[in-house]
Amino acid sequence: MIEIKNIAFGYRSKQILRNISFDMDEGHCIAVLGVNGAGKSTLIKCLNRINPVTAGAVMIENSNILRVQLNEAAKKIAYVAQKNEASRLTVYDAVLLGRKPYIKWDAAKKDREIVCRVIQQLGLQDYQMRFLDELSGGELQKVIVARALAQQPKLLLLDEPTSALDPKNQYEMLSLVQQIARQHRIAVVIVIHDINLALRYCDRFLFMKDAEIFSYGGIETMTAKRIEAVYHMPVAIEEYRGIKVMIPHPDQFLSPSAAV
Amino acid sequence: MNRNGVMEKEKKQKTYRQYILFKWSVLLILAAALLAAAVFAVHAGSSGISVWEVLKTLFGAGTKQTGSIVFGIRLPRVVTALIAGMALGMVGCVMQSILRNPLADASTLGVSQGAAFGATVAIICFGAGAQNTASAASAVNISNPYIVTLCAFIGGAVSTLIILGLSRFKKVSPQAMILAGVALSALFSGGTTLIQYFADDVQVAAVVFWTFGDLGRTNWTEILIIACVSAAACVYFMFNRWNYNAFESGGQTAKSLGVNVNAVTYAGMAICSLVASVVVAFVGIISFVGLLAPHIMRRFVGNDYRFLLPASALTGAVLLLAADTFGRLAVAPIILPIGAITSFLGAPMFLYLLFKGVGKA
Repeated sequence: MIEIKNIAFGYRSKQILRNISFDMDEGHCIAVLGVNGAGKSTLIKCLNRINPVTAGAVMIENSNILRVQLNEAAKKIAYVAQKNEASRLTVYDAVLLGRKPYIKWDAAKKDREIVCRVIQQLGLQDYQMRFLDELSGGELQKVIVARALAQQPKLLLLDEPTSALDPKNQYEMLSLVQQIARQHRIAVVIVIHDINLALRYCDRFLFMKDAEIFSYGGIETMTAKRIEAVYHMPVAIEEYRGIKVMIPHPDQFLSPSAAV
Repeated sequence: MNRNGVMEKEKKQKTYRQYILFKWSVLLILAAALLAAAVFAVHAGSSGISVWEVLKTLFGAGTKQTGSIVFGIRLPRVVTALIAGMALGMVGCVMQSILRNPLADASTLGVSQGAAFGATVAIICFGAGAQNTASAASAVNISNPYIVTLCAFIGGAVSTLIILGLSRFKKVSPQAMILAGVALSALFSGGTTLIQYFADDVQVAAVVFWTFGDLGRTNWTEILIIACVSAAACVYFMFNRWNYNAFESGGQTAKSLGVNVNAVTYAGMAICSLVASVVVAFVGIISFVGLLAPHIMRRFVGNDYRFLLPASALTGAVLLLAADTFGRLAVAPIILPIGAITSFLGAPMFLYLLFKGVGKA
């Protein structure tokens, strides 16, 4: 089990995160939801030490990741940023970069084997020799996830991984992430705006509001009332073929002129 | 996995192996070209020594006359070109990675001009240059290379700190960073002109020659200083080559891959500044080698710093040696200033990058 304890973060007088505590099981996908500016991306950047926390701990295998060396932390936590730069590296080299925390001078045979396995698993074999700047958005996103998996992390953090993808790629990506989480027993934290995608692929749901956790729990916590309280938007939660879906009713709160 | 799957996997792995082999062969071809260019540069000149005689002399079987020409005149110049070229190529490559700016180079960011100002202060104001009235070109020899190096480093470091500050805290665009480099260059060039204004005629002549860039003034002690600093920097940069690869994915991702981004940035820029300053202190301002070399090599080895770093160093050396040899032979016996020739090569490339769009470079 991975435990997040009392994470706090802020700039001078402004508190961005307050007293954030939750835990997650291996193999589970956790959706972090909330309005823009609620602190969702900041939270995963704090978990990953990109933002320095003012208080708190991230406990993985009985060690506080916020107190170990960056290189050691990178063996436990991998991060996929919202925007990824497509540089002039081949797909293979980009995935090999995920082994960086383990590499002393040069990549060992074991590193190359792991890279080949991950490339195979994500179906990247056909373009492993292509440069990143020649890939489509969906292909690039897969490569970035592959790089994160090559780190062999216990916790995978994804910051809006579907924001630049078309609907087909969005479903493919999250389905892949869910499959990987189950198969490798990795806990995955996903910052996401699309509640329907979250409902379909995530196991736990963390709502953030005003720099704090508003609610955290399983699918039973995804009620219309709760979503309305966070997003200030009337919605209905229906079930379609055993899967919960959210149906927004924006016409109920938009003025007639705005609705046009 | 079925047999087809295994064969497919082997085929893909072989392709990657071939790709790595290609990168190694690029390095080998560069090293061979450099060796050939070096032998040619030692041979070329008015004394008419053949390549065979050069090789015999280098292996200790030459005459006294060829020995004094090769070891006393030609070799120091060629070795200076090799080491300074490697150093500048490496520095340009690392600066472009750290600052995420394809236009970055010691000369475009004002580091070389800052170092030149520092060295001028040391030579003229602190008396680190000894008078030599034999010729205008060598009117001031560096008598205290340590003071000159230190002052050049301080000058270069001031530029580096300002550029780093803009990059880290203001997050300025690559183009704005180059504009800051232009402003710093103007500032330091103004300072150098002021010092020249108050210096005597011989010193002014010397400093003017020196700011053109000249590979023919270094002695073996100075070459050793440049070589030691460059070699130490090369080892440091090669140890960090995976970090520079991680920088390709952006600072935040690099941090998530275990890179101490601040430490690698500050240490890398300090070392770049030191190396560029040492080169400038002893051979003057040589522009654009650090810009050209990595860009040429990116075409062949991509942005993989495991190969890009050594390839940029070798290309820098080939470029500087070729430019110097051209400068010596084009209108012999007049030797054209090396700084002007590299600028002729580099400025069009710089404009090309601007036209192409910095982000796509």
